[in-house]
Amino acid sequence: MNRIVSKEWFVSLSTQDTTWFVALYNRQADTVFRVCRSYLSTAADAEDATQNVFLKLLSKPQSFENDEHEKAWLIRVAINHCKDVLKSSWNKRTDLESIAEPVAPGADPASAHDSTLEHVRALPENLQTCVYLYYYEGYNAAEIGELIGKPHSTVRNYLSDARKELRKRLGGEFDERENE
Amino acid sequence: MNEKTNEQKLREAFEAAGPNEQARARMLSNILTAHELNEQQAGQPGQAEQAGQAGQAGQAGQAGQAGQAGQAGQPTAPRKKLQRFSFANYILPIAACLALAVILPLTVLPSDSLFDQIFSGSLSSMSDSAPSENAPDDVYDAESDFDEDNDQKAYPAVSPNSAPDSATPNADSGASEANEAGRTADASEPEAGSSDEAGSSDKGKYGESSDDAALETQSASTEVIEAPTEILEAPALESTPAPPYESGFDTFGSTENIIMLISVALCFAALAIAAFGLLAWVRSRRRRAFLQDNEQDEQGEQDEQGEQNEQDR
Repeated sequence: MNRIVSKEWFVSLSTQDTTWFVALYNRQADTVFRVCRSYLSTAADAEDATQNVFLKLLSKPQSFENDEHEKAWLIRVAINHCKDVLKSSWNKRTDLESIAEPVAPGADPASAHDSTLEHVRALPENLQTCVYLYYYEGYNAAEIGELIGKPHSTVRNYLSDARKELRKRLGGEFDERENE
Repeated sequence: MNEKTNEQKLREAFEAAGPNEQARARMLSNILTAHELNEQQAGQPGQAEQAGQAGQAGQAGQAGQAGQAGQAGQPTAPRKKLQRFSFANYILPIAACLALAVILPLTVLPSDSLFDQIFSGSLSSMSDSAPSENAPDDVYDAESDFDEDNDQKAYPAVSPNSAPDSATPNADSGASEANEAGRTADASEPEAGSSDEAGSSDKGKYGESSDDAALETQSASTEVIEAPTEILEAPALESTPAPPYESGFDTFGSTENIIMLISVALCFAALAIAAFGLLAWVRSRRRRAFLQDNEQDEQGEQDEQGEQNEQDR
């Protein structure tokens, strides 16, 4: 909660209006950014998407019941925004900068993480979201179904397909009992 | 071990994908800058229309550019919003093109070149084709010739057999009267031989009847003259060839042609602008319908989420 990082802006703006927003941003910025990063290929695009999501919240303040409600709303808005970005014609252009470089053997752990993330990003959009929400955010299938607007049985199928695909790419096995 | 490793890999990868402190600070500053700019724009009365739809997707677009600029460290101007369709944007250029297309030939061309030639050519052709100027001379000559011929033939027409065959019914009636006068003269000759008084009186009758017949014959001959004049008018029209109508265009120079081409091009430009306007109008209607659908969807989703939250509680 003490990660208030932009004191200049915090002081310059009317503090009464933005205090709640800065606190909310510090709570949820990482989650929103990771959701956007799971959809978008570059960190810059994920940053833009994150800013847009929070700007939507700032322009249309919502009344949240608790932190989970707040988080769910932001994830839902982030997913929709990333889908819109991916559908836009600008993003359909393929340039060399957007193609991730292959990870060399013996590379640093950050590159290995990028490689894992690239494998996740190679999955279809719905599978990416399910993997992130299930394995990182800790939601179960029913909660993920509510977030992405699908039945929980569909979410289970998504997770099963994602594990099958990641098993081919990463090797190893997943514990599917956690899925139930 | 591998199962744990895969899940661990994913968690570590997602953890590493989070923003660092600098990126988080940059994003926050960009968000607040964009929000401040939006509020400023919404507060200005001159730009109230542009920011009238603030709070909708427009603000997200503006924040998109602010975010891009934030990577360079400087916020930029907000993204230009989708302009509403306005008929005035297309009607004014169309009117200007049409006005230029009409005014340019009238003003630029010399007064005796284009329209004068067109109108003079058309008027001269019309006057040439009219029978009022040239025809009367021919008719008059024909009439006079006919009179000269008929004067010689008309007087012998005092005798009943000399009436022209081509005479009108009036001439026929005159000739028949003349014949009747001749018959009465022939029939009265024996009576003239029987008594002088009667003869003188008959001569008087003769003279009167012959004079009347001659007068009637003359009047018949004048009436006969009128009919051929009407007949002669037709050959007079056929004999005068009409001048070519397009003779006025033969003297056009290159300048006039160029100006006429420019006028035609302006007309086509007006048509093209009208077509583009129609296309833009259709697109704006589609866009508006799309945005309204999106707003309704978002509102419906929010309502559903609120209801679900209430039910969960």
